[in-house]
Amino acid sequence: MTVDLSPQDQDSPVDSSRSENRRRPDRANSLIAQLMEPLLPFLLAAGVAAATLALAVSQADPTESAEGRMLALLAAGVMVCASFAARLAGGKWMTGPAAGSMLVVVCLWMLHQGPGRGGAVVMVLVVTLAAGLARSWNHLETGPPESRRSAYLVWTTALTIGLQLLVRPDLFLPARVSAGGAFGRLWLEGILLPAVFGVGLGLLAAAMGRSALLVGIAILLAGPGVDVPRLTILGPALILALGAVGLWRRSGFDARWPVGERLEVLTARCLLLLGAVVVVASSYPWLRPSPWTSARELLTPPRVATVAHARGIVVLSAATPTWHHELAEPVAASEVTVDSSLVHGIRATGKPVATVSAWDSTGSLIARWPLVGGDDTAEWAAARNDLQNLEGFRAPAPWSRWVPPGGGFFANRYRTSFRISGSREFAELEVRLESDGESAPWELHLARLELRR
Amino acid sequence: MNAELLRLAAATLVGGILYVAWPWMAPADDLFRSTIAVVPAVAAALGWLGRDAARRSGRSPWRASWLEWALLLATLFSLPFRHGLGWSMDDGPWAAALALALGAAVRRRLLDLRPLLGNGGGAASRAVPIQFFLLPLIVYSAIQPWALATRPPDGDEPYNLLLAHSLAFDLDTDLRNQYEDGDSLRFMDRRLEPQAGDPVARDGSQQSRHSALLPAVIAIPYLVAGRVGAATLMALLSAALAWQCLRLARRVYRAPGSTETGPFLAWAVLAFLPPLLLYAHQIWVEVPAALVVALALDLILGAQPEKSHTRLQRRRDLLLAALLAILPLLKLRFLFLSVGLLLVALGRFRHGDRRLVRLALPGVAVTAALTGLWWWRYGNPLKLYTRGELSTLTGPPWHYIRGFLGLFYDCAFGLFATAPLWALLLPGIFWLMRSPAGRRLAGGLALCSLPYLLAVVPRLEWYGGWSPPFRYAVALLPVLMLLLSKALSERRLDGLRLLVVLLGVPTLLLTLLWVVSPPWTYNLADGYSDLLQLAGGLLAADVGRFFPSLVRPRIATWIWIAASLVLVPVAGLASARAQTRRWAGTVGFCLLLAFFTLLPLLTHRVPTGRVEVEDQWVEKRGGVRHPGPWRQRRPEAAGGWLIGRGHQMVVRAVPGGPRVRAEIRLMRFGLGADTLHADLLLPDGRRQTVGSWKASEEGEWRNLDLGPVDWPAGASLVLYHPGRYRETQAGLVVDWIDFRWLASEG
Repeated sequence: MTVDLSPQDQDSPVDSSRSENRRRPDRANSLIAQLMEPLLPFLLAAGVAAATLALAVSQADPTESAEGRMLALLAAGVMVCASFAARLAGGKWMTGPAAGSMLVVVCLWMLHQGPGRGGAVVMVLVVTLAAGLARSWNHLETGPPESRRSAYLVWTTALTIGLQLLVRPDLFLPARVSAGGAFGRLWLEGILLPAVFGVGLGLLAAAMGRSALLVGIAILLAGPGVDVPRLTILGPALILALGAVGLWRRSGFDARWPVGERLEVLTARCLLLLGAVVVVASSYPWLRPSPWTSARELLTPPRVATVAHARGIVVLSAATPTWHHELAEPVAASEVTVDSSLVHGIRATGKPVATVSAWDSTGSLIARWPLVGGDDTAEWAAARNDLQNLEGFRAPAPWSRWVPPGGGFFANRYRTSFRISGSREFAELEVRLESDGESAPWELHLARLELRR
Repeated sequence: MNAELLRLAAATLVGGILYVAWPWMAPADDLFRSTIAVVPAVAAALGWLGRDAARRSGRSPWRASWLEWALLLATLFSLPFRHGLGWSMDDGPWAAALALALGAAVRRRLLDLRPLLGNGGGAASRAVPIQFFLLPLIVYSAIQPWALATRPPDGDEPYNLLLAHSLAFDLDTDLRNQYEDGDSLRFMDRRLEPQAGDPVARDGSQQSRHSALLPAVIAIPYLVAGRVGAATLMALLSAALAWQCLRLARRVYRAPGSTETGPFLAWAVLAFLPPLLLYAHQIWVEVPAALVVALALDLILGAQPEKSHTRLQRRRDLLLAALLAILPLLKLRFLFLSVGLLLVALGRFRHGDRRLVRLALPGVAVTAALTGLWWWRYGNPLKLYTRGELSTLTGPPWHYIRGFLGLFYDCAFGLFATAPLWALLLPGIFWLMRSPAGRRLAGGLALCSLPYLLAVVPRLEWYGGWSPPFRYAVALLPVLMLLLSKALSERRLDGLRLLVVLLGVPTLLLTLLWVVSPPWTYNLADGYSDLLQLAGGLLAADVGRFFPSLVRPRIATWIWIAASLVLVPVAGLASARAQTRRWAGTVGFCLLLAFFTLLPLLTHRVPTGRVEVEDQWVEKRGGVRHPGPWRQRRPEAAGGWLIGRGHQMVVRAVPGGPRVRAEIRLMRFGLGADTLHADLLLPDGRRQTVGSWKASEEGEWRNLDLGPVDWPAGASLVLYHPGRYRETQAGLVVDWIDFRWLASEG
């Protein structure tokens, strides 16, 4: 028994008239296609924004909603850049940005609010942008000369704006009253400034080739993000560097020691990868001010023996001052790491806010450490404007950030570690809140506890 | 070949070293340990497959881009140290990254393997190369370690494993010592107890309700490598099933001058997407049964009646008879599959041919022997079933409709909800019916499936009990694959292209979720799925009411069914002008984004009707699900939530008017709390009492009326019992609340 799959099996009297239609010239549809094609990146971004914002505004938890809104707008902005970059490569260029968009939507639906969700979304965005830039890299030098300049301009502007949005997610926080308003800040700092740099870089690269572009990208990554102070340094630095490249070529040294396409491609790939790591370190949820140092930290991570607490936030307050945990099995470790933040902890600077204790399997105390406000942990709202210059208040560098509902700033979470000499078998852990009888009691929000080798 | 083997050996060695060294880099109980051990070997095997296919077809293999390699290596490098990032979720994103890398590799290998099928035509070109068996096997082997690490054996699996343990170590089927000695601790954290209804033989031995054939088959791999060995054998059987189905499709579909892309794509869907992907590492009888069905169909449809007396054909008949006899040995209900296949053979072979007797005789003999054995051992020819239970075979018409539609449409157990791309079956059936040969084939496939479906769909647990989705119909995957082949051969039609995007993208996303989190494939029969419960909790609203369920039928169920039966075939037939054809994918993607946009908005806009209070989106403090989730024949019971002293539930209903009348279904259970109070929780935190009722009769359901009362904007309904909070198993069981919104007074 066999059934035909041949084309004759598909045709019918109805189909033959459709075939007639297909053969007619289709000018109207061609015009629509020409109009729609350049708008596709914006339509894609609008679709992603709509899909993710709809979820964010519908969520009951205000913290989930606040972070969701920020990530939704960030995703939309970066997707526009990624789409324009990918579009230069032609073909089925939309596949990459579409896949990235769907992954962003899935992350927002499936992952709970917190550093993990933010980190996952940012990584998807970085990969999507990087993939679009990488795909179209080879197309910068192909095509007729008159379109080459516009290709470079699109490429560099997509890079600079996309990078700027990623390292400045604060631009998408809920509006706070300011001179320009939220939209003004986004337009000026998020789009105009990087666009200026991008256009300049694109024009210079169009004149000097892709090698010059690499120099510009390296300079751009030296301090990710573009603002007015940096622009005054980056701009001249870029001109000087590219001027040197131009001299190199004009002098004839370029002919004697050619850079070579392979080296150019290798350099581009290395820059792209390094740049991706730097951008991730600079973006939400880490927002490192010195991303190169942090990237080095991320690339040499610690050896975690076990995670004693990793789900949800444990709140230690006057009502429940103690968290005690018995490990299922004793774990050999030499370091205890605590991620935490304080609520009502403005006056806790320099004071022991909690005590971290550890015992081994025989019940012997291994060590007891104080968690000191201002040094090991601090107020979650330390980035708020009114606390920035408050006398007597200090906070350590935050480990990660999150988005508080309604705030125009990122909330902080701090990490501290306590080491012992040698290694012991940890069996029990406890964190006990301490209070200062003079001031209002603070709360310690315990996010994570690790034992490390 | 030697170089490839060396590469594979080296990769396996690297994997072994990683496995041994892993506890030094990451926590000893890290779930990725076993996965990372197979990654090098999987990568080497996939590379080998690609190079081999390229060599045979004379083309260059599809290579991964440097960016893909960079991402894979970055994922692998960061894997042992991911805990140091301080994220609250440690595993999901990394598992997803590895799954995406595997998916990209599979896509490249599919492009490499496609030319190996050649053009349709003569018999010489009909063979399916072994590569089409190896690729699914490699994929299942890649996924298996993660699946086994994240999901303990569940459903029938642990009992099949325990029976295999008994056969392997004791050479008998008496499980009494296995239960007493806690042998199940060898492959799971729980000590198994005998299942309710497990038969006890006349000699006092504790037997299993499950057939011993599959455990006997997995006994030796289990003896060698425990659960991993048994799962590996299942992966082999699953890969063999996919391979055999492709052979079957190539036998059935002839396409001179074309490249038979339909069967190839259908094979890819069958092998690499749910449901087979979910069952490939699990110990269920359905996959071997499907393999037997595929082999039998191949023998039947490939038979040439005019050559029935040749020696070759007699051997094939013997094999077919053996296959028909194996099915009831796997599971008694598969006897109906044998009946269906025999009916198809009846249609193929000459009328009155004595071959039919030869084919039927072994199956009849086996069945008679089985029933005789059970009668002798247990005093019951049906082993553990009663005649009353058999009466489900002749249930009311609604049971047949519910079960049949539920197998395909239910949000938790249905094929289309698990992998929406299978909805292309609908236009596939339509296209098949357009030619006489297609109608004959469709008739044969229906004849093959009907007896079995009539036996399973009217059951109370038509969904397969506690199991992955589509369980009872997995044995019919060869039939479905043939229908899908027809649909996918028409892929050039624009409407189908749009459907492929519209259905394919959600399928890929869902497959990613099922692979990353295997426990989500098991759902309670409560009208929702774990995904919908998660979404409901996220939005604090009833999301599931927009999705179809045949466990708890609602309006959305019939809307989805009607829409799919009309829109999917119509869209599949649509054709358009060349210029707009390229927009099919874009339109499909836009529709998907529109779906994700509308869903949360509708959830908070469409007025609440009936609320099943056991759902996750209803906020609860205290109380328990009633009856418990593991109660036998749970769909027969009204599922609700038991409230005791100090417990409460908060329902954030979406208002449909300024006033509301509500009906609450309630039962008193035990001698605990007996008074239910209802308050309106206002947005400013104040509460306004709107009703209280005292339940007197224990065990009797009552419908209580509330209202009509004014419903302020942003209000929620709180049901509670006053008093000091304490855990209890007695109190008031609330089943559902029906809200009826009123426009104004009255």
